[in-house]
Amino acid sequence: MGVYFIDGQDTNTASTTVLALNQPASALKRLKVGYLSAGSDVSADSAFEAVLQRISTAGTSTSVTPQKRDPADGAASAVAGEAHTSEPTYTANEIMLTINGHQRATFQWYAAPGREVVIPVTNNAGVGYQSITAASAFNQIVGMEFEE
Amino acid sequence: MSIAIHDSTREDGAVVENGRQVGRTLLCPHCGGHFHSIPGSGKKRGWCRACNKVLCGKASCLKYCIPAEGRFEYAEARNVQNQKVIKKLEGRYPNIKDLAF
Repeated sequence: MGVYFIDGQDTNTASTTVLALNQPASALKRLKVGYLSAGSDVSADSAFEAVLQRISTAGTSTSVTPQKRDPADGAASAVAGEAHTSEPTYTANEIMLTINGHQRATFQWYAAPGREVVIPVTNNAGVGYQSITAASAFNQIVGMEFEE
Repeated sequence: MSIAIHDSTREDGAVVENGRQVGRTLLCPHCGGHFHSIPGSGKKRGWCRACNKVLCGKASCLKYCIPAEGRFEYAEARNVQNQKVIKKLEGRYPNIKDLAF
């Protein structure tokens, strides 16, 4: 079982997915998201709201390669994407975490061991960090750590 | 002899802003999602006596006791059309079809 990190960035206009983590088309293992961070590379005053929500179908995005924490691990089977041109299909009412923050304060969330957000072994299933609203949209950088 | 003590203050997740912990999250045993636990917020949550844990307050989580692990297994069984597991879980949790991922 390996631990991997992904990060992506996009302008957080409403209903924009900044970063998504998905099972591949032929899912192999459960994914467990244990860490999330959301910040910005510019300091300004803008409050934002976002959610980490389950995805049933992946969208079209720029691919992000999961980076392994332990060099001895193999490549991740999971796929990740940023800067979506076509949004993923989100599962209604399956919000795994709400993120309410401010552009000047980096938000981080850590799951206790064994309490991670689990993505089952279902083809193309995943979770996405989707912006709900921002006082003034800005370039948001989101990171996630997961194990599989 | 050890006694198992339920600790309702145990956190399942920590919210950190600028290096300081500013909040905690709890894990809903039914949907597997985390919710911010803020005493005095007025948010209506729930309690499952079978799971012995606080619930997130979503209508579907309050209505049915279907552990998240059961929902994961059901989704995985449907993914490969494992009818034996599907039937077993639908028999154990009659409403699991309504909550499929």
